[in-house]
Amino acid sequence: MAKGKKPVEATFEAQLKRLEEVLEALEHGDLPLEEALRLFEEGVRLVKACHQKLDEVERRVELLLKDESGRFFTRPFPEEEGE
Amino acid sequence: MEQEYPHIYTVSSLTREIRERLETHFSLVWVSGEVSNLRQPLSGHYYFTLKDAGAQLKAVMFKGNHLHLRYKPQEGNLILCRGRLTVYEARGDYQLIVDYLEPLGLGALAQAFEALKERLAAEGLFAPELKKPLPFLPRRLALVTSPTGAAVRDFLRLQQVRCPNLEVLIYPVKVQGPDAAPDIAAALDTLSAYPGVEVIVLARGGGSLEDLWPFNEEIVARAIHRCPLPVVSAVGHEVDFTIADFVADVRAPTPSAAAALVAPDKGELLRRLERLAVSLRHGWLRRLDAARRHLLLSSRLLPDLRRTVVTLRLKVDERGEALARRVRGRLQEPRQEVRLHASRLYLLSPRRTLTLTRQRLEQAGARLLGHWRTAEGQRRRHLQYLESHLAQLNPLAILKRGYAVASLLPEETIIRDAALVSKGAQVRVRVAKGRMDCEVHEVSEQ
Repeated sequence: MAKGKKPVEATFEAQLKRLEEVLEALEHGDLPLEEALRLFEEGVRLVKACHQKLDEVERRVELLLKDESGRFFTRPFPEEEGE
Repeated sequence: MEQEYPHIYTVSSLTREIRERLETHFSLVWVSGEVSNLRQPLSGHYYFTLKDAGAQLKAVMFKGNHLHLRYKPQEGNLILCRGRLTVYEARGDYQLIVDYLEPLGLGALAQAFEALKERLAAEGLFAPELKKPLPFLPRRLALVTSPTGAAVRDFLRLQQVRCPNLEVLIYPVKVQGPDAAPDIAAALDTLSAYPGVEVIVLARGGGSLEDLWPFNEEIVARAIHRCPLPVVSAVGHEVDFTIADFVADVRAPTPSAAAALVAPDKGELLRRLERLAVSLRHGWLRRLDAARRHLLLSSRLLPDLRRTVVTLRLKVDERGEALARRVRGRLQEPRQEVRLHASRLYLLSPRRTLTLTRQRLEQAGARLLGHWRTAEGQRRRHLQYLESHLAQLNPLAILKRGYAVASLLPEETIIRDAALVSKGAQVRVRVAKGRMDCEVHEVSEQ
């Protein structure tokens, strides 16, 4: 990640990786039943969180412009029809 | 002197030889000159004449060789050509078959490019260690490009397809001309501090070396280098390499390719997520099923256990019986012993002893009494004997025979010796019947 931009909660990438770890453990580990259940529940939570992250941000395309005083403001970027 | 006849050529053979010599000797040449008489018939080939002040050279460039070139030569352009000489025998013309050409000024630019590239490389601006990884799923990305060019459309189109859930901030810049480079550098500086931006894409469509020149400028290279965010350089076509491409963290061959690099394929991610979710479920269900089967297997033993319990119960009863029997058997002996001891105990019993003792006592008493009676009888008889004996021995009995007992008064001492008595002493004389108190007249020793 670029310096100074790390989010506090786990990144999508990290969550996906953890999900794969959980799966690996569940499929190949000789786990006691309670542990397996705990991992399964964690996996379900992760799947949900990942889905959330994918839909979190809404689509927005904006033009960054500067006004006379040098301040920045944004304006929606017009898109062609049929795109 | 012999006259030597020179070899006589035919026109064809001479022309052929000229052709062979020219083709061999000039199989690859670079020629610079001015374009004139440029024609492009229906075939598509270029026919022109390269000329300078002193001479001219016919040239042809076949369609296949120039079709892909961006540069289209114009009448009067100074160009640089690469090609080979040949002779068109039928017309007796020699000409240059050009396989590559470019505008002549290009050389200077290319040199400047190489020089800057070397200098910046030596400073370490292109070092692989400096390349930052791109964020996996950026929320907001910035696009530095011309708002009217094709690049921005290409980028947005592909980004929309791959992952619409992104915020795209477009920073409009000039992308060619002398003002472009400072503009681009300023854009990078502004965006590196803009809140939320996670990655910057530098995009420009295709063009000539001059068109793309702003991206070869040092000011842009340094701006990319100092930018704390990852920078993707997508300038020109696949074949174009600019300095910006070298300094950037990632080079994309086209703006569409940049969109593919920066925006993850949401569909693919969703599918992958779905696969993982399914595998997760399966993995869990398999584990659960294994546990169930294990339980079932174990529980199958239970009916057997019931039978076993019955068998055991019977066994317990049987053993209990045997035990009771043995216990009872074992008790016989002790019981007898007890009886024995009891009888012995009885024999030792105080009551019995008491009774016995009483018996003995009574017996002893009876015997004692018997003895006593007997002894008493004996004693009585003995006493009687002694009494009679005593009576016989009674000194006073002697008196009956006439004897008398004299005793000196007052002590009543019995007188045996007359010498002891003096004349006039009082003497008591006891006779069988009575006594006389006398005074002594005379004493004699006879």
